[in-house]
Amino acid sequence: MTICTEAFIGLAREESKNLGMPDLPLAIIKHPLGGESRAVIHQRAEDALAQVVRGLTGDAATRPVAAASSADTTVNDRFTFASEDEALETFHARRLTDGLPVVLPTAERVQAMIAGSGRRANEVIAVVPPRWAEATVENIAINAVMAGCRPQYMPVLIAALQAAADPAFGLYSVQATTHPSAVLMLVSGPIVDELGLNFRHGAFGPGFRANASIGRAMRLVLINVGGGIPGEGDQATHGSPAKFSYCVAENEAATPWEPFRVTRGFAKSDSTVTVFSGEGPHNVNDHVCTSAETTLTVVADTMTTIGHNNAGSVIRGDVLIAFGPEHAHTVASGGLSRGDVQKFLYERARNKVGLLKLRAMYKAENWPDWVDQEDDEALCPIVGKPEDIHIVVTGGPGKHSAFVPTFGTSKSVTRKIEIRA
Amino acid sequence: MSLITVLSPLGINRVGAQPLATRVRSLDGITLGILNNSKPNSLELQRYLVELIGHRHRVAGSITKQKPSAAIGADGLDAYAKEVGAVITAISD
Repeated sequence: MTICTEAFIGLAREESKNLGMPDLPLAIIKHPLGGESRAVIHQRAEDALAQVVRGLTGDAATRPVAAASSADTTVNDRFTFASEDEALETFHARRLTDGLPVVLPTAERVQAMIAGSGRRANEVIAVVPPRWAEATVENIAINAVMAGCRPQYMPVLIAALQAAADPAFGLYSVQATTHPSAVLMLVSGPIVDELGLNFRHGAFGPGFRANASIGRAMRLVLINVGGGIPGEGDQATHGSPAKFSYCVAENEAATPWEPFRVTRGFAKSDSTVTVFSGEGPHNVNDHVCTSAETTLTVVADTMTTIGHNNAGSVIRGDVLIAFGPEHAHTVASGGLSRGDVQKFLYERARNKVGLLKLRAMYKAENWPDWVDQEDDEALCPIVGKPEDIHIVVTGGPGKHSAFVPTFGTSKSVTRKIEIRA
Repeated sequence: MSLITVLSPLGINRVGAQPLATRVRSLDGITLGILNNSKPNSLELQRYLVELIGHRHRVAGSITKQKPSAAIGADGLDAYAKEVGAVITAISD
């Protein structure tokens, strides 16, 4: 028997339907539970009592099993319209877009996009939650057309979806959570230049077709295939601008350490995409420091807040530091390796136990065992080990870097980008 | 008038229909399961609810299974199902 607050009825109904149990009984109570007094919680229990007893002892088991789990199995695969304007308005009205106009996915455009993948149209690349629908090459291509991709971007998108579907990434939670996590794609390798992915000025921002359209295509797949529609399968309280498009590339020429993909076990000749369940980037502004230690201290201070998810869900997540080339140069000039940087930040980016206990999301069970939870002055790191602080260099000139916290119960996943003729 | 035909961007869910768990005839003599997702106040809600049920039915007791996070699926559910007669879980913030 499942208890659900009013705010989550839509997600609960959709999810039970998508998992083949449209008649799953729910006990509905007032929202919220978090941040409420004990007396309020007890009243919520009183309100749930009759519903729960009825649900546990009711006649659900005697009902016929539904013939099909999801209305998605009956969707038309083609729409015909009298005009382009009518088609666009219909796509908006049916919530098939991210709110912006799309390139209409005609058969010819989709066919060209499929060809760019070098794969069969009906190959299933991933099953995307919370709708738990199949993302075939054709589905992905349709959404890529809508996003404005070129056919040669398809291998990046496919590899990114494969990575996001890895259980370690936890895509269901990333999609459905109230947290503002998006799927950040980090591309590393020769394909960056081949596709014209931007890695200089405005590396996280607009202005470059490859970054913008690959990131947007991922979001459209998450909406249209995965059902990550705001207020439905996507329960984000605020969401994030990063949910429009979030694709960044490594500035390898400005990287004083080995390329990012090599740190993940791939060859330098490979191209890879890594997915992070990232919040939008948090800026690290330091125009003063001239040493590795002081620069990294500013970075660590930016990481040391108790409001992001990694502060509480320590051992199950990872984070990304995107150094601007100038900060990276300052740090590396001090003789620090990438591992040294990770160790420094791991040791410095820590929150006091007493402060963490104030968090509504306080979860001691996700802290490392060695943190003394009885000592309010004890310090707790934001990830389980130094290697969980991932380091990349991207961006143009300037004294800025970026800290990207993540969903917290999610690990980044890297996949090789396969180019098929 | 020339018509324009476009393809649907939706994916297809191929999950088959699943049977619901068998409901119990009565809560008397039943061990209730509390499957908790670690969200704030959720355990208080579930425990008090079981306490309320206990005032009205002769339940045999309760066994709590704690997930380390709402974002992580519970493991060992088959074994848990053998220990309890019915389970109460919750989703919210």
